[in-house]
Amino acid sequence: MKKILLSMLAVTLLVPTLTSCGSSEEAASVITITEPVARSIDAMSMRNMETGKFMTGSFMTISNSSDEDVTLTGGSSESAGIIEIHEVIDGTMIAMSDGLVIPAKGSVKLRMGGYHVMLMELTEKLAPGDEVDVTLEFSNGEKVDYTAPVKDIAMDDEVYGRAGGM
Amino acid sequence: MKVRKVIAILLSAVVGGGLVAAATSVGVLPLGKKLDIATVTEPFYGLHQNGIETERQAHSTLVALDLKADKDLAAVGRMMRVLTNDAALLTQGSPIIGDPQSEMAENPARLTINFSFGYSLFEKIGVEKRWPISEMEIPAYSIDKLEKRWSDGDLLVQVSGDNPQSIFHAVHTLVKESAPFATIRWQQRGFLDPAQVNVGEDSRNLMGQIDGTANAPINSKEFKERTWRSSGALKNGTTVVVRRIQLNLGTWDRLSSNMKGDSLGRELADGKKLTKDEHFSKSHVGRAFTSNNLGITRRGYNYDDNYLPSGVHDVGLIFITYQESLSRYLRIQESLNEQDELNRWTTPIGSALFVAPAGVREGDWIGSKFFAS
Repeated sequence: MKKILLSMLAVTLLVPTLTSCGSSEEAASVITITEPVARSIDAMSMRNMETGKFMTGSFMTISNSSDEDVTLTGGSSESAGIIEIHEVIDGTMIAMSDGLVIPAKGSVKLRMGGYHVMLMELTEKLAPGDEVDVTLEFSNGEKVDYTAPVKDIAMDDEVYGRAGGM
Repeated sequence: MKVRKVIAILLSAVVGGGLVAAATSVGVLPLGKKLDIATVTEPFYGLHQNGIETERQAHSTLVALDLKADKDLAAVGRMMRVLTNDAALLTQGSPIIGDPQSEMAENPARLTINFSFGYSLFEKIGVEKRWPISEMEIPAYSIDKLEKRWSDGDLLVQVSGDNPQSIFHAVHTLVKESAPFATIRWQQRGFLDPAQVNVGEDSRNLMGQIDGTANAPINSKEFKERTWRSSGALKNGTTVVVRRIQLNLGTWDRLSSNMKGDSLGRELADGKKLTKDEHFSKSHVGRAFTSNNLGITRRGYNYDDNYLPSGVHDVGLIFITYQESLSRYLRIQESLNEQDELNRWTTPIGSALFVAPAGVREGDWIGSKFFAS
């Protein structure tokens, strides 16, 4: 079921030059996040029925330049109380409690209708034209920051269960 | 086989950071085979923005946008980060994430996308002092009959390529992406004869004249000196003039070939300059090529906006020039305004001035030097 999209070309193109030797940070950065976006909040957006707070998806490409698999385990953001890694299977959104594996020398595309970072318990109503700052955490101890522009993104075909507010 | 057309393409590639002319291939377009040019790309990132020191493509669309009233300096930064990333992807034939018509990005055909800014944008967000040149607009000329709907603008997005379909898709995507920040002011669509463009020939305008751009060759020292600013905030960028010149084909059609040639100052058939002709000094070319002409880079396109209900064929030229200093353009335009036989059949109805900042590396965004918070 799980489909991992490898794109070796993307890796060669996107990995920046190595960090300089003698850097105080011993763990060299092996994870790169490119093309991040987050979907804006509108009347159709999901929200937690108990707290009434909105949630939305963030999409990107995550690349791993190392020789070993690295797992995306979670994240944090000032704009979201909770961050989960989700996958859509047969039209239903499922939290990936084991995280998302970014294969060695490979990359994974987080796209609509597939893997995505779910920003939950939003502290602000993300509008098109905003930017949202997110930090993702990985099994090798790396924390990677990204800034995602907030955009209107077409509806997905899958059903996100019984979301409240409609 | 109904149509046989010779197509040649010039493409360049970035090798080790420098521009190198990579290959020239000539082929015949057979039916039932994918067009050679479809997947050819031009580099987006680099010292200069793309689509200027680039062999002219057959089609170009220009969209001028105005920033929404409630937007500030930071919003311009957010907008340009989005548009820069989008342009970087689209020019390489890749859809942006969330593109509802993602398949339409696949045949870029030398798609280039560049961005330039008008004085009005700097003014709106209170950074007039960052405007990098002394002129704020093109002066009014006596020959002008300017219409607001074809003039000025805060942000100019120019999308050029050899595939009108990929241009459509890029324009549609970029305008959609800019929608949270800006509204449409005007759009102009132009074309050239692809058979002439693809072999680097001067193209004919819609009066049938060979439009001798007198451009310096791409990648030459002369081209760079004319076009790219060498210092200051606009370093490696350029000034951009866009004028919409309407043609009066109704009376032009009735002139003889000799009369047509005289007014331009070139033979109609082959574009040869008529320097010995007694009318030459009053002709368009005679007026333009004075000692005042220090050289500019012209990259204009023809437009055909259909017949009007009155029966007039609304056609003309989207006159587009790039010059390191606007004075290079102004000196030529001044002598053309004073006396130019061609003025009887041409009317400037739109006029706009923009500055196009330098190109960027991946991770940076177009305009960051002007609009960093």
